[in-house]
Amino acid sequence: MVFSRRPRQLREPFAYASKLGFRLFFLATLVFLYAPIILLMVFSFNDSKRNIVWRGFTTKYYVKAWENTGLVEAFINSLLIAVVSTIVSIVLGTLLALLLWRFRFRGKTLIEALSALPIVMPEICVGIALLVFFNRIGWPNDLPWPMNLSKIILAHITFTFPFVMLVLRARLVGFNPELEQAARDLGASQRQALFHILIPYLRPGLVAGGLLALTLSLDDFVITFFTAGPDSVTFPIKIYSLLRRGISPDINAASTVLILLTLLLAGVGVWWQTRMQKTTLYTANRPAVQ
Amino acid sequence: MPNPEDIARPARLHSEAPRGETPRPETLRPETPHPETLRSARMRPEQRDSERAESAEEVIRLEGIAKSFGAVTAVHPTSFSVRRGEFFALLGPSGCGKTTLLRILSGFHPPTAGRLFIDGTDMTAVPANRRPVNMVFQSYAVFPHMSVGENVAYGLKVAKVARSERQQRVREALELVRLGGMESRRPAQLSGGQQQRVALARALVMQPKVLLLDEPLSALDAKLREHMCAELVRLQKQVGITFLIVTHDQAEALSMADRIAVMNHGHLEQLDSPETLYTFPATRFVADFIGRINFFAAEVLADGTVEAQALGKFRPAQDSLPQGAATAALRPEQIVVSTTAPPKQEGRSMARGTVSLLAYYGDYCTAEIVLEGREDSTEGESEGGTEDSPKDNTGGQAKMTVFIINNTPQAREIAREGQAVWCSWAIRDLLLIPQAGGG
Ligand SMILES: Nc1ncnc2c1ncn2[C@@H]1O[C@H](COP(=O)(O)OP(=O)(O)OP(=O)(O)O)[C@@H](O)[C@H]1O
Ligand SMILES: [Mg+2]
Repeated sequence: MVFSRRPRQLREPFAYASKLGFRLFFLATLVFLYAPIILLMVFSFNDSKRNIVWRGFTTKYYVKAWENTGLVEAFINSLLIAVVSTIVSIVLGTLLALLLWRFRFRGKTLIEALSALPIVMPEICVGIALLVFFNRIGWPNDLPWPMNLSKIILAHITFTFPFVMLVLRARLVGFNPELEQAARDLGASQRQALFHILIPYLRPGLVAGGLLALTLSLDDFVITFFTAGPDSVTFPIKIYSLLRRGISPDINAASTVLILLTLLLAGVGVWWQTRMQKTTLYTANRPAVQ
Repeated sequence: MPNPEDIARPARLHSEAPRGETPRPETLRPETPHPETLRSARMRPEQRDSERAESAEEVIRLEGIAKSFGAVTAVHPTSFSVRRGEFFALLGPSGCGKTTLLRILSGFHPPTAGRLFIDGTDMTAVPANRRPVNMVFQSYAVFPHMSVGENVAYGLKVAKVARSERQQRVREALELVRLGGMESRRPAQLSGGQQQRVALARALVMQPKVLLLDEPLSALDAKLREHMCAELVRLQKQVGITFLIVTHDQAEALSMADRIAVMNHGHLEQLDSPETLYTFPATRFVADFIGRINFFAAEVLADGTVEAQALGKFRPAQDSLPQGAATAALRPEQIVVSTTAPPKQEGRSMARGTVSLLAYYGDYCTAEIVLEGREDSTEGESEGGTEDSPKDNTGGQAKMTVFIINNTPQAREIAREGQAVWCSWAIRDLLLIPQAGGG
């Protein structure tokens, strides 16, 4: 049998991008994703009480936001919570990832399943559960700053450390165990092998997981809402409470600061990763065969 | 808690300074004691071993070392020792337990039974980082986030060797493996062969009592492998450190090692010099695994003579063979092939056959010769070729594999399928393996 049809022309993966329809689709997606954010940033410089019409450029709402002590306090609280919970999450997540990678023990599957649960559980359930839990055990509500943030920090750790663990477990899959054995063989103790070989190997995962935890903590609303007290307000909650009195440009200004901060963190992370990759190729799992 | 250095340090006296201290690899042992490799023509292996045993000092001794993983027994109780300064090879097919044994030596697997002595000290329970042995891993395991220099310096750094001495030793070790001046390179910028040299230097710089190498050449291409074989032998002679290499490649083991331990299914089959292993394999497995060989079903009769399939009746060179079933074995290179009947000679035997299968290897051919029944043989009349393996003659048509050196006038005559030929061999070359030792 003879095929008379001409073979269909093969396209390079991104050749579709040259078609007009696809271009429009891409554009629409980008607009849909980023237009609100850009609008928010632009209107934070709008010289108007209302966010509807452009009335000229000003930075006075940044000053106004800065002078709003409640907002600044909430911002500082958020940063503190994010930093502390990220550090604890990195430690916990690393330990759990190493435990599940290295050992076989009874109940391992159960622990694996349980540790990923906070990721899939609806936040509202986690929030209510934590609220009930903290009330039940009678966690003190009237601690002085910064101890009054302890509830929120604990809550944030519960949902951020599984992310760190997942990122690290994915990275550990590619680890050549002979690297660690080689270190042991050369005289390193278990601890030295861990810090000299395994941790440097995990470093990109630690950075990625840490950034993930940091940003998750910074913008969390639901779980924080249920664990925050009247005197322990975080940035997202503060903004929410301000919103009830209408959208004002100082909220835009404060949000812009938060967005820029997040972008900065992500940028640093990406820059650092690429720099690491330039100096070291971590892919040397198997030797390059000549 | 005992001081780790005390555990690692040998109790026995010898000329070598403890590791971590000064002498350079080159000056470790000025004259390398090599076990004699020459063999007088027909000496029995047992004689040779007892002769040597007292002369050489042992650096590793295994006493009934065994290892099981759950229900799987990887290594059955095994005892042997490795002599100081020798190039020792552990040879066996895949899955026979070589790596497991090596990992027991290096301390990564605790043995299920038995005791391990390194340089006279019981090291059975000593962890890997306190053993005076170092390993070159199959994947090389060069630390990817460290430069070549940092890789080689790692062990010295952990041992807290002073910086200046460290640098000096690293430089020497890299020169030893011909990587001088590559200190600042990254492993990702190295070829597989170079990475392996880094792994070698990194282990050698520690001046181990024994250097363990797990299939170091299996990832290299044929040409580089040959080169590295020679390189390893040179290195071993130069530094005088005992090398223990694991391989499944018999050619590698034969060409490099002073002594070879052949393993099969977790058992030690035979431990001997390459020549002895090849000439006097103790078991059928060893005979088969090392080199090429033809097997013939045989029986040792009450009067000491042997009746073998297709070979007829003869009086073997070996005496005191146990009566009963045995296997007669003959190496292809011991068989002379000619197109005309060779003159009858005392001590030689012959058979007629037809060339049936030729395989070309460039410098030589192998030919499979289907033997005709011998007049004096009881199983003379051979039937159709039902046997699958040409080297295993247990019934049906008897065959033998021979070598033909190519590009000789003779080869042009013989190397033709269907050619009628004569095969002849010296009777003393026929090796008899009692059935008990067979695999
Ligand atoms: N960690 C382990 N758990 C269970 N079984 C194992 C383990 N390591 C090895 N074995 C088994 O022990 C036997 C010997 O394995 P080993 O790795 O020592 O073989 P080897 O001689 O090195 O083979 P190869 O030439 O393929 O490397 C094999 O049957 C293997 O399946
Ligand atoms: Mg192996």
